[in-house]
Amino acid sequence: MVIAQAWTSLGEGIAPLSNAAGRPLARTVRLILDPLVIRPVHRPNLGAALISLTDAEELARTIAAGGDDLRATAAWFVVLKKARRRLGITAGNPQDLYFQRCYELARTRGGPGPDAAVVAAEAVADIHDSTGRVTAAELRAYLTEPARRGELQGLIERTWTAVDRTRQSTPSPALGRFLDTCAAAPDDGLFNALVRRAAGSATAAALAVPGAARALGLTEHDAVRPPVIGETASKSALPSPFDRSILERLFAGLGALARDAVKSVALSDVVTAEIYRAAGTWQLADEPSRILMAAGREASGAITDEAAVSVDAAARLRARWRREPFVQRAMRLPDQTAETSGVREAYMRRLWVRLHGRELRGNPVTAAQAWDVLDGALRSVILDRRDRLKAGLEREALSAASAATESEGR
Amino acid sequence: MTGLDVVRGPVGIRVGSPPARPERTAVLEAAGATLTWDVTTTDAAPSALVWDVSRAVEWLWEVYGADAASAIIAGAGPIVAVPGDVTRTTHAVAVAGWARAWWPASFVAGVPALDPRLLAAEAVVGFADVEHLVDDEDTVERALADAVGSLEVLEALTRMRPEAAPLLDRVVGIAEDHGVDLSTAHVASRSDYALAAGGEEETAAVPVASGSDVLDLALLPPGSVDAAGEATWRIIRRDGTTVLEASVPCAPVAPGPPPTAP
Repeated sequence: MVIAQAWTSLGEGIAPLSNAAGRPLARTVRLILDPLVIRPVHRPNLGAALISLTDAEELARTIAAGGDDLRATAAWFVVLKKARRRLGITAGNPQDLYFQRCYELARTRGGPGPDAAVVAAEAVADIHDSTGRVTAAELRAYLTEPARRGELQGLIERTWTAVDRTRQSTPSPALGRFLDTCAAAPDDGLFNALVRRAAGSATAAALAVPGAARALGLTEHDAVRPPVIGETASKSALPSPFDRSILERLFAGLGALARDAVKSVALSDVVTAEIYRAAGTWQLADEPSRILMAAGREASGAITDEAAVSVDAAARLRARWRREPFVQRAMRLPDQTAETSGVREAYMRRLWVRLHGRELRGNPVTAAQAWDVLDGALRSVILDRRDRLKAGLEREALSAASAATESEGR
Repeated sequence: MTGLDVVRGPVGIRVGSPPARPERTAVLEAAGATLTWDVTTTDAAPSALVWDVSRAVEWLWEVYGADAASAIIAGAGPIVAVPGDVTRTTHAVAVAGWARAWWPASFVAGVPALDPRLLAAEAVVGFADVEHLVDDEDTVERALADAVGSLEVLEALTRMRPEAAPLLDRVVGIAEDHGVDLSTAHVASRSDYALAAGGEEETAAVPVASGSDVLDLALLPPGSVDAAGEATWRIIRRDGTTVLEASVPCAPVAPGPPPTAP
């Protein structure tokens, strides 16, 4: 309410960053307000959902003080969208792609001036400029070049054998404590301690037990195998995460690489990093991602099994699943929640894909985002199940109706 | 103004009670709360299950009014909701979703079908208007994916009824803002489907028993059967076998857009 009021008091000028109800768009909050204006990392007292009166005043002041920047950002967004239209660009979500650049323009140049059209055209062209960014064809050409294959294969073998997957280490009880608090009151200190103690990597031995990774849906094999380099990849037929070739991993993450409008990266660096990543615990490189996978393993058993609820995060995932039959019935979909096989596996796969994408974008999970990532993966699995169900029914209804119409006509 | 009880339970805070039957329930999945309306009443304020207060606190006041929202968060009711613009928009989005699932199109009762592409377009605009309070951040994108093919219907509609132009403009603008192209994809219409099933030529059948029954719409997909129709069945003997035949009248279908003038 504080944010909404402070936002409204900025006036008409911020309409392009707002919805029809006059509230900041979800992406305005995520890409501009939170990281660039409020910056709870520097002012943790402003990050909580329920804040004190003094903090509320500080929050309102902070937003009001950013008013000029925000109005200029909004004005730039309008100009950039016009430039986009003129250039005939339709790819990508403009909010995702342009918001932060608009804020940058607002900070460096103020509002759009007489040269705005030129500046905007340059900015849009730059954001959509694919040079220096990886394309699927380049990636494939690089990985399949015969001269390079031996070298890459050698690197895969070296990195894979360099990791001791059987070393026993004690899983941290602090992970459970974090799962108990991450949704309601995420604790930076606790999360940082988990990162320092490598609590995610500590689950490596448990994952190396034959069949363990398969039980989580991450591979089809009992024993996880080193990745192959790969020759083809198809978005609609990607194998389980740990069975993906290096090509498939990077191909699936191309969107993440392309969306990073800021820095361009050398293909060789991307490939080398992916090979190292694939050899790491949970086949991820950053400790925060590994902690999230360990957390997902801990909490996801409860999604379809009440008896497995152990920590608060698990109870919340379980509750999300339990709410689904009511919504499905209201949408006139047959209740499929009794069919629980494969849900946990789909969840762990989705979580891995999201964490992998974040790593490619260089955007590691923070304590405050952890619950959002854990919860978002389940929401996404549930919504996809619902979409598949709906599509199946629509096909059925169509063919039933056309059959009926045809036979009536006879 | 609507009075609603507030009860704190194991799965969250309940505000009022949800409608008793799914076919009367319009739902909106909001951030931290599931909002429900009974489509047989005109109450603008929804019943709700608040399952994550820290997320719902951001917008509850817009749907229920500030005082009622504070009372809900405190778990202290009953509340008197003061519906506002946002309440009405969330209600409209939820009802559009309900219509998609439960609109009782019927030849028997003379209820014409609604065009699913127009409903999808309305959902796009409604979700975009309350995008800040929905559970899933990609809701507008998902709604846009559902609305592929709706532009031609909207354009045709605008030619007949100019007052539909703002809806068309909004959908075009929202699609552009999200980088989604609604125009290119071809959506299969019923006439695109070939005959999917047909009976064999009947040989002499001996009727054994027959009857009819009302339809349980909850068991049948939206848009498949006439909402006021009934199922008829008969048991027959044919060529030495016993056969159960059941038939239901199919639902009316919204006509496609009229051909454009050359």
